[in-house]
Amino acid sequence: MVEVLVLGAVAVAAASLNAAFAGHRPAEPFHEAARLLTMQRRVTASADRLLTGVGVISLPVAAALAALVVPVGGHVAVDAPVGLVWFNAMEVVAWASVWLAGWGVNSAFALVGGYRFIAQGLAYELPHMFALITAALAAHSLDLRVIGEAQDGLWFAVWMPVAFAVYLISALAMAFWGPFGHPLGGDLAGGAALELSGPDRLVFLAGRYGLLTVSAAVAVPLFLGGGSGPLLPGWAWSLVKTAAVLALLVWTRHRLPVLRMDRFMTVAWTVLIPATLLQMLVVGLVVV
Amino acid sequence: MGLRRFATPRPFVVSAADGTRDRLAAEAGMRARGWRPALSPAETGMMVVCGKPGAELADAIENVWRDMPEPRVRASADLEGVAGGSRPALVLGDVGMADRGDDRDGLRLDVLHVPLGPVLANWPAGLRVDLTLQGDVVQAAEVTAVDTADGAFWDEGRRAASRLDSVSRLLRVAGWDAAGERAAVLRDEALGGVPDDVLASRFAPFARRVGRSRILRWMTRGDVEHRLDGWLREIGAALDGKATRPREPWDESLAMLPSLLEGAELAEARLIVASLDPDLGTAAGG
Repeated sequence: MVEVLVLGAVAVAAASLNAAFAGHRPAEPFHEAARLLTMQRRVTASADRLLTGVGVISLPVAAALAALVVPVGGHVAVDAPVGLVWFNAMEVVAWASVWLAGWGVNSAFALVGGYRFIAQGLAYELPHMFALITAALAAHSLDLRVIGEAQDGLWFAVWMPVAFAVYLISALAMAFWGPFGHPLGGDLAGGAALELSGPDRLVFLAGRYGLLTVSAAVAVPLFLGGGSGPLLPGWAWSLVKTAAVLALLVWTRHRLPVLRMDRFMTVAWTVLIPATLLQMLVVGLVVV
Repeated sequence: MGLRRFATPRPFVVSAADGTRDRLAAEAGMRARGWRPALSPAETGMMVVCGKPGAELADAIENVWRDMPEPRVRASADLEGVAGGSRPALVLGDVGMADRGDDRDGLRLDVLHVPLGPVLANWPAGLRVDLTLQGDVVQAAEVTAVDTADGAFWDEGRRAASRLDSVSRLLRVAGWDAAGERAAVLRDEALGGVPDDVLASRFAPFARRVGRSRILRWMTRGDVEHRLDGWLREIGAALDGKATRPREPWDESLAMLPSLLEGAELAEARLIVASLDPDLGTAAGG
């Protein structure tokens, strides 16, 4: 369980880093949390409070459950032989979370935000799964620890760069962050999170940081050699690599405008899917 | 309460048509304090009203205010808060179900009637656009000037700042807050008396970065892209001391809007409005 708590702390650090990139104080997330915790919960007319609540709470829960199978060095909270599939399943729970939060509050803009995330899911999920399968194929395993250990000397990121790049894109998309932040877009006054106030909002946004952190952490055993590295112990290398990937993901928010799925979808299906399939073919030919 | 003192406020800023000066003061004040603006009233209990709203806009603001979560504070543009008072009970009428109608692909889809504005972040002050939506596609749009004024904040001496303000808001609507904030800083520097040649050297890298953003071009391809390019050129020219065109009269922009918006996706509709950025604070017809 320590691994999950450590990733939780990394998620808080990501929020601080995000504030620092925007030129604000690194302590800003704590001030914001205090603000949301002392604010009244507001309910919209004819809202479905149960489904909204399920949507809000399931986001951080999905992130925490996904973190259970993420190895930190040689340690993992739950030793799962199908950890990769579990991670993938938890990430899809986020689709339901955002949809329910957007739909349940009975507000047109929030609903459109929910739609946007479903469309985004249709764009990123297939390339994402092909990227995951490519790494699993090369390691002959769905166990994240085994995949990490299989990269003896040569990281998968080096010899399957397309799968790695697509994974990074899909990591942003699953956490609806930065260029994939359209479901919570400013043009919808906050989209799926529009009507969430007080503690609801805090839990939902914390869940998003959790998801972003887990997706960064999974990149390490998948493509960056897991905990391997000179001098430092395995867990330290895992955290250093996670922090580097996470910093890159957080930074994109400040460097790139948002992508609209009505334009991105075409690229996802005509470029990313064929590219990941070709990558898988190449990897398949090498390892078989 | 200790926790409450530790909290950083997050104001929701609403501007009346004559509130441009106040809005800029509020934005500068927030930047100096390290506060961020709220995108929606649900996010916060602090509302900042800029300028003097007319009766219709004042009603809309009152509705939003009544619905904001406690603890509530209403502040003027200097961000000094006035306590909010208790909330009258919200009386809810029946909420009607959406109608159905044929969409452009021959499917029967719910028809929603959704207003954009007049109380909306990064939206022209005083404007309301009533949309008929199916999914997130605009089937019809009706444009109303809810609040107008005949001031002239964006006069000839402030042309670069005026366009920087438009660019800033367009970039925020395009989901690029960092670049939008940079444009706002340049705008405030222009208004604050930084010499044009100094400003031009600061503006050049910003214009290069925005102009060369492939994603921004991809997402705004067409009219919006051309208008943004036009603005960037005009700002450059104004800082070089060359003559530039004034803003288009807002009644002309409003007349164009319905035909531009019909058939657009909601996100696109927001970009189109932001790329026209009508200033309802100037007298119609110029």
